Amino acid sequence: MFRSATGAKPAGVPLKPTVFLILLALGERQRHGYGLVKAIESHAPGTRIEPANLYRTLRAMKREGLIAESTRRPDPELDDSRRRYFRITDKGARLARAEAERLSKLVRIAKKLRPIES
Amino acid sequence: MDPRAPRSERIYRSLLRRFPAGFRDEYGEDVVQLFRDRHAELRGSLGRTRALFWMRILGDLILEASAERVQSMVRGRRKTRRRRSGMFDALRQDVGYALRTLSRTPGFTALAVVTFALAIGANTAIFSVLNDVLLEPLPFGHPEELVAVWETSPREGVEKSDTSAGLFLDWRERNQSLKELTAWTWDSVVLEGDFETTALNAVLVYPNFFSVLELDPLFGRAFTLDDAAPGARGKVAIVSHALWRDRLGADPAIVGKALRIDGEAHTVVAVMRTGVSAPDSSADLWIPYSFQSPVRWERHRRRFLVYGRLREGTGIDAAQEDFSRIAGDLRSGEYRDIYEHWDALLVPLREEIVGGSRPALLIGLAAVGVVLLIACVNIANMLLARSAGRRREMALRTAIGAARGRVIGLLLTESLVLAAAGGALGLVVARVTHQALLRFQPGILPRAEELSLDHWALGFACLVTALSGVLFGLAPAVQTLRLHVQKFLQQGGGRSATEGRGFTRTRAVLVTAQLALATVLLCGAGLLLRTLSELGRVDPGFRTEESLALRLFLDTRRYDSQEKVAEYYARLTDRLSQIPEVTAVGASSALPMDPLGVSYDLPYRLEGQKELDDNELPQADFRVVTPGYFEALGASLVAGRTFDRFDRADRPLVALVNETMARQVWPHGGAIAQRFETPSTGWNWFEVVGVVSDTRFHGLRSEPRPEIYVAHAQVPRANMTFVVRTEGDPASLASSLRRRVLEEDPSQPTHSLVAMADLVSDTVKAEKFYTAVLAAFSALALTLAASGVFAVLSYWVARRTHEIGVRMALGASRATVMREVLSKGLTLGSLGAGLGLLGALFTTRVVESVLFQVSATDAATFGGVALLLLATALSACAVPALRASRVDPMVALREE
Repeated sequence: MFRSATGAKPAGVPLKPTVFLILLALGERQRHGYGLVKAIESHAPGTRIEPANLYRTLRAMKREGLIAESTRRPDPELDDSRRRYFRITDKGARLARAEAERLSKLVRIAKKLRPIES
Repeated sequence: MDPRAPRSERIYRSLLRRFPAGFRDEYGEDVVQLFRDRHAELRGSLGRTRALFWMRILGDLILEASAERVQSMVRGRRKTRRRRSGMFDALRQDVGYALRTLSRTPGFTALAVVTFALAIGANTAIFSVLNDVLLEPLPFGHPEELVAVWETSPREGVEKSDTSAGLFLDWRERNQSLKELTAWTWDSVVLEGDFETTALNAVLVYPNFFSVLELDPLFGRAFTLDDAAPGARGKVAIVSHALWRDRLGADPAIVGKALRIDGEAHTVVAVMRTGVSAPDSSADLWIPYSFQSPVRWERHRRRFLVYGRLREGTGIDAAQEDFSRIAGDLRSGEYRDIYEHWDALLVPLREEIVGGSRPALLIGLAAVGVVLLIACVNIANMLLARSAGRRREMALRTAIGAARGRVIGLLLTESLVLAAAGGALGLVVARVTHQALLRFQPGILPRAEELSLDHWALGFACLVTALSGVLFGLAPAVQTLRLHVQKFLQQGGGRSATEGRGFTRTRAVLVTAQLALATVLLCGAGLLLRTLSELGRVDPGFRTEESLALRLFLDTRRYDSQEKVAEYYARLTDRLSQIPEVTAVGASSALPMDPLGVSYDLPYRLEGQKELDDNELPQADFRVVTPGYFEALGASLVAGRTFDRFDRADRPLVALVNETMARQVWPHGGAIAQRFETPSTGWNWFEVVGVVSDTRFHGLRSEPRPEIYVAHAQVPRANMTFVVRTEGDPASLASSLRRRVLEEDPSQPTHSLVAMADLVSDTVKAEKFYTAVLAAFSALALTLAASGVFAVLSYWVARRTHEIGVRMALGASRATVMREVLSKGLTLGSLGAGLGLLGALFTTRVVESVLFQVSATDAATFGGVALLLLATALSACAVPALRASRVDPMVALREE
């Protein structure tokens, strides 16, 4: 059986890193594709998402109800009517928090590692 | 599509059509918009960034489109599938079909992929090295403006000589063609630390050194003219990044602190950037040197290398004229006795630094080019063989309605799939080969620390091999389609009757070409191998095994008189010979084949030659040695005696000469007790007390020259190299030797310690390296050619199974059948060898410059290569011949 494109099993976590990053970026505010890419690149320097990959991921996330296309337009001055905006759903926010919780557990464990002795 | 859209966008849109229509309808515009945003970020960036951008974009499209396809297939979204564009569908089918077909013939597929990979990988690796070394700019600012300036004197047999401080200052003052000139020289200094003293490689420089090369320090300041104020040496230094990091603890506040160098405090004014290698990577620190008011005699001390930067708009030829004019002025000026036969020589700095490795790299490139050619031919041959066998299939496909374009596309796809797999594997081969080249190259590639794999070279090699695949994958398809399909099928499916004569001939020609190319390479490798063995046979004139060379650069500040220097070496000699395993100890001012050895010529005047002018006097290599030197070196005494401890400063001056000198100067014998005068420290008379055997001082390739040896106790030198002969493994003695040196004087470290055997083998390391490279490529070429022969004959046998069966049924013996196959192989082999030898006659000239006592058309080498090639061709057809002889007539006939 193929896993879904978000990497999420029906129960949720763990999420694919890209999906998690998208959720975090949309958690701040609604964004269009380029805005999303820029936000992700500033949150996680070194990450680069290419166009086709981004939109296939977005579509899968939309199908699973993690995000939705925004009906509310942002400030008309910033608006670019050609562009499609996305926002996070409640389910998406829940999953993002669950993933964050999972990761922070790992971080706690990692912090207990003794420093490497040279 | 909007024709006004930028080209990049149009390309992207057309590529996007590889996606299922469903996705395109829904998000196509958004994807293109994002691409547009991304592309806009590129504005003003360089070709490499752009290439990287497109590679990412293409990778994204290919990956995502395939994933999307798989996904929609798995989900069975028939709706999408129906609307899928026809072209992609066909492509996917073709790739799938190609993969299935290829997997049915794993042997062929593996061979083809490996051939692609070897050709691409080897080419990329060698080309990367070549590109970086010969074509990439030097790590200085505006390197194309930099030149090296030498003194030259064809009459004295000196092509390039270092320069004296006085002439350097003359050049600076009088030239009109260079913006700036700087000078530098190597020195060995001692750095005193808290726990240990270390010998370091210092570069003494004219203060503008870094500004001429346009190098900035990591932090701190460059030298100024004040740094080299009167006094032999200034009191400041710039340290290399490696020295700062490894020995000075990467102290961020190092600037302003003092280091004790040669017993004097030197203030660190800057740390150089990492990887700055000026003049090369062994420089540990730079010290400004005072060039002020050199006295007349210093014009004889040619010890500085001069670099300069051309004025804007001035070519090197104009600068050369300018410097020759200065040389002309000097010849008639105050120092005409010194410069009478001297001129200046300007060489582009790049040429100066990388010129020496050019032959090796060009040989490598030629070899790799030939291998690429052979590989392309091999691939072409394999694909030809394959498609010839599939003409029936192609004809059938056409007959039942396949469009010709689709049939061609099918074959094309197969070639491309092979090429792609080969390219991927080739990248691995390239990395491994490149690393191996850098790891095993014996220090003959300049700037090796800066080299990396070149992605453009990889792309080029991929393109060439893929093109050859495409071209030859296509040729048979086109030929098939020109046939009358109907006729073809009627004739029993093309088993034997229509097997094109043209095909077989083309393939035979291709295999012959391969064999010929391999022959050329083998001849080159053979000549180099013979050169190595000739060099190995040369007697260096001394015993290299079980001996060590230990270099010392005595601090002349503390050992400031001739007596002190002489006493130091006498005491150290005693101390070293007390080590039980040491059998003999002696020191010389220069060791044979030692790259650090300072060797110089001095004129000498025999008794009764008073009438000769100084400039007309004969010259000999002049060396200072201690009493035990010849015994330790393993050279022998031919006549008279060597030095002993009674040859002291208060005794008459004595000298030894080598056999060559004795033969040239006193051809009728009787060198002993002759006297000559030489300017060792002022003109002095020496009496010859002995003749010693010749040594190959300047390397295995060069004939011995006249040599004069004088006793260290009488003509002391501060910098000497000990030869220590030992019983058993010399390497185990290294630490106890170093310890004895420190026991003698705790602040006088050993400069370096090497095995004598390494000194000799280091002189041929370049030869060894490129012989190994060429031999490896020749072996590869021969293997490829052999596989070509094998493929052609196997195919020939397979196509003629029926015919062979009939002939055997009619009474032909197995031996006859075998002989026929073998004779075909032999014909190919001799044709290839013949043509190859002919080619080699003209091309081995490439390696002529590195050959030693072997002619570029050495008959023995060529003959051996021809035999090797024939043997290989014969063994390659052994299996097909056996297969032919085992044809069972009954089985073969029944198949019809």
